[in-house]
Amino acid sequence: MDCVAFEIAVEQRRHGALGPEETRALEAHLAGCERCRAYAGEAARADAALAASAEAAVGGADWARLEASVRRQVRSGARRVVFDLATVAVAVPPAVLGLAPEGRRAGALGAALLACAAAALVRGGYHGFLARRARGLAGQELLAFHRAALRADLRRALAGRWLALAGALGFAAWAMAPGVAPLGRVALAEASLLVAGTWIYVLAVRVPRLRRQLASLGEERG
Amino acid sequence: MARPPPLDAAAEEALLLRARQGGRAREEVVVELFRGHRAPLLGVCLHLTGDRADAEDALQEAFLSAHRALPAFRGEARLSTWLWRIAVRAALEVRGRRRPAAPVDPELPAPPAEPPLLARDEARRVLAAMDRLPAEHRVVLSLFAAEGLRHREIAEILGVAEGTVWSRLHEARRRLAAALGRR
Repeated sequence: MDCVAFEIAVEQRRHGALGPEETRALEAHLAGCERCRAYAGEAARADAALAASAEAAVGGADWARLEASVRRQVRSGARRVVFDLATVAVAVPPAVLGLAPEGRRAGALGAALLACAAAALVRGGYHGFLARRARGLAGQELLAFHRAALRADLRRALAGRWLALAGALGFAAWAMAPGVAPLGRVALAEASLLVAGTWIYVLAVRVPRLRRQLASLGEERG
Repeated sequence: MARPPPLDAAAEEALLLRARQGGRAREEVVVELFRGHRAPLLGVCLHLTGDRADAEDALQEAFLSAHRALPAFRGEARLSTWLWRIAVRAALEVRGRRRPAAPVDPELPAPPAEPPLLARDEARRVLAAMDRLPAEHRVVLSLFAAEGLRHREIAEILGVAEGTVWSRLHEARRRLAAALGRR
């Protein structure tokens, strides 16, 4: 056995995973190997430092506040879905009715209701997506899964800006069709705002954050 | 404050059954899990984020994720293993969201029995050195330092073979010593 194998045996002994025979062999080796003794000493020092820092954090934690915060977030998470959907359902149809010209209100309202239904599906789907992702953790290599999830989020964010552009162009084309002139200028402004907002969010906030998260994981290990 | 005893497999199974009732029962299950696992999870979150406030945020996010995902959990692993995995990811995400310029300062509070100044200084230096290591090494070092986790459980949490856990721990020690300027 070389020193690397003995250093691994040092770890196994520290964590109660070394048999009696291997322990005797390790002790015999440590008696004559300064490098492995230094390794064992360094491991003990590092673990003691980590244990001390954890103990300090645990000792100083305000558990009542943290527990109350977990409860509050769990409850508000469930309420937020309902609130988001109710807000869209209450705000969008009247706005569409107000903006649509006479004679096209029924069609515009129908489109708005369809958009609300789509929003509900997307919101519910996102909730389910997060739950599936958390459940998908079991049985997979944790950090590979984490990196793959971040990369998938990055791809989705980059694709999302083009989707917003395509949607806005389609909306503007429909709204500026002959016979809908009063709606045209408003629609164009709305579409431009949607695209600008989406691009600014994606490029200035979402993508840099995801890249930072990937970079913070450091080099990938096989 | 005394730590509640860790939950055994039978207690976890009972909690899962209650969680499947949904609503307030699921919320109570999450709170019980919080009480049963909060101390070691907070320690690991601190090691992975390097910052006490971030560690507390990560701990809360982990239990929020657990609440969201509990209905879909089918017992593919021990509930505690699954919770550890969620917490590790939450800590990595919180750390990743931090701006690069933000300094790593664990702001270690004085625990009830204050350790010697040298020990606290050493803890700060080790956390700062860990912050420069790749995630695989930070995670394996902090899990092995966590109270009550055996190497088999750590392998399950990481989703790797037991042999990989030992070699990864050895490599992490070597790199940590280099980051501390001791090798």
